[in-house]
Amino acid sequence: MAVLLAAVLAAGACSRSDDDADGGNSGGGNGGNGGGESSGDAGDGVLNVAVVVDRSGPAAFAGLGDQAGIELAQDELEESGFLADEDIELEIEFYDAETNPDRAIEHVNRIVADDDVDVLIGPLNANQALATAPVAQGAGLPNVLMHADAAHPKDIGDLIFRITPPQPSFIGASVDNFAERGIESVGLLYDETNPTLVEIAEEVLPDLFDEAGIEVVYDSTFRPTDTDFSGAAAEIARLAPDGLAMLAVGAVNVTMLNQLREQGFEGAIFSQNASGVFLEAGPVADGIVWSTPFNPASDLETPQKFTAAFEEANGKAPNHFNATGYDALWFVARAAVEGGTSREGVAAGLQAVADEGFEGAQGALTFTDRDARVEPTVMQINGGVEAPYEAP
Amino acid sequence: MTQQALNAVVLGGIYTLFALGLSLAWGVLRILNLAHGAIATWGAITAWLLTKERVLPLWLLVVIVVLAMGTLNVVIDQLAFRRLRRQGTEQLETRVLLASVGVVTILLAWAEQVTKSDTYSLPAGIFSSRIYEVVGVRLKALDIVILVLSIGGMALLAHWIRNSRNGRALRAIACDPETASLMGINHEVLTPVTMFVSGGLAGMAGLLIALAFHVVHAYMGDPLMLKAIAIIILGGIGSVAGAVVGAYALAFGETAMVANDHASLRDVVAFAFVVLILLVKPTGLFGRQTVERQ
Repeated sequence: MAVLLAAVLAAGACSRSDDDADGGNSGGGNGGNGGGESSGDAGDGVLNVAVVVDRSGPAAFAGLGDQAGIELAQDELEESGFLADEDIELEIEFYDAETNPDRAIEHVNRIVADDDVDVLIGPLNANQALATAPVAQGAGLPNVLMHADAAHPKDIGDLIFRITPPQPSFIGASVDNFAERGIESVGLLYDETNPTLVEIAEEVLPDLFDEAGIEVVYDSTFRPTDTDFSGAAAEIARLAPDGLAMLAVGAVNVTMLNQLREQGFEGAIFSQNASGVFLEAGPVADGIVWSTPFNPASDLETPQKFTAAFEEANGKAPNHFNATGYDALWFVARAAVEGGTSREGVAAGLQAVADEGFEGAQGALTFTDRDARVEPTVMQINGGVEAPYEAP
Repeated sequence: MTQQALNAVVLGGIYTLFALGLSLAWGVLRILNLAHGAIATWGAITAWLLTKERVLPLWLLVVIVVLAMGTLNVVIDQLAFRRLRRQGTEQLETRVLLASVGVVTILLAWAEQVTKSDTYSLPAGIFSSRIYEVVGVRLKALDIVILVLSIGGMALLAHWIRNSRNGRALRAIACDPETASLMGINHEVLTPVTMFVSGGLAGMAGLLIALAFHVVHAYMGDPLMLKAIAIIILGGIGSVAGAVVGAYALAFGETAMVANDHASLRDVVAFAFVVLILLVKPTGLFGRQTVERQ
């Protein structure tokens, strides 16, 4: 109850992006595409982008990560002249959803009523996107979702796109990794409040494990606000499966991991997409794997340029959230060049770009039913360093 | 099963420390301080801030956190609640409750700023990470410390309330504040002392949670508040023995749910206790019926 009241009053619901943020990026990292003939309404020459992400609350780590990627893309777009060469001016406004579906709906209701807004990026949480995307669709506002795996664009409408490949499309790589390592039994521990993770745990993984010949010997749920996982950890340690699928968002992974090891569980662990999560966890995290659409060690040109530019601008390696935000803004910018800056023009442009696919920070992106797909990579952490998995 | 029982005992120790502080302020001063959870959060955040650059030993962290959170609670009382008490007793508990919501908001927003809404762990080396394994049961060295601190805290508090002059004065205030005042008991002195002890216990609970469960974040105190209220209603407002019994009942109930594949029903236990006790014995297991002459 206190949280709800606090969230209502928390400061900083909305603020304009800082045009001068993170200067010094190397430009042109993504400027190969675009410039095609306009296929839609040209609009007023100003591309007004509204971004709804969680910049506070438990999911702030993801929202701020997305925002950092968007800001890098914004800097690159300005420095490269990608939009200016087409006489398009870019305006971005960020809204803080505060990890609160009510706040996200409130923002999106205001955004769709503002005729100046041409496109919406976000939200990132499925429980927000499931409520807001139909509002955007109904108002004729094109919407590029990030993450929000349980919100399927094809089920919502033709103006809804998603730039993050949904986890069900790539988590099979983690199961394959377990199978290749000879794992025969697993436990399953997942966040019962996250629609995406519930879908993966209850609808996707059982079939994948079954196909791989891996038996699920234990499954249980938790809430992200829990701090004590010792009960579940002790039970998993007692059953001693060969491996564990741990589906949690953010740093609660580290909390659970420590308690699992303290209770005596020694098996292999795969996490949901956990880029950046285990960096500070120390030796206890060594050996954890996860599949991800973003591979910082990719051989492709754009991921390499993105990684270098992000490190230069932010002084640290990028993660999946940074890459997603970056790709989202480039997706929208390409659409504006393709179709114009009106809502109709951006929508037509998004469809045209999706039909072609493009190379983004996440890799070679294609789209199925307006939903991004990319070849996944299985990552592993060892000694505080994330790298593609290599069999010992 | 033995391992689960041990986990429940350790969890019950932490719940006891947290609930004792809330019960003390609620029972004696009639302050249901919803900021108690935020004080526990700040106990953990204080330890995290202190150990970011340099690892400090546990005993020193306990001393610093207890002093800091006790003082913070006194400051909150003086700034937010004292003026309300002076305005009269009419609907005092409701007005204090609403004021404490404001305090929570401030403390939470501050915690979000400091932690950037992210989750952290306290560094290794604050206390031994040794794990003893006896007949298949794993006992952390820290578990022993938690049990010692919770039992010690409970015993000291019980002794203070039962046997000391101030403790007797507190019981008199809890029983009838107006008569206690007429008898010369000074609220202005005893209230800060009570709030200090209450805040110190919350801070210590927050520190131990951070260490035991490897978690420090801005929202960690919120779930504890609901549990503590359930514990106090179960045990009886203001009762030390009631808080202990309530804390262990809740800890064992929750652990049993998780151990028997009903993890999603874990939080239901607290509310089931509340409903049950309100129907059967509204004063709580150790609460006493009070009679007011109209």
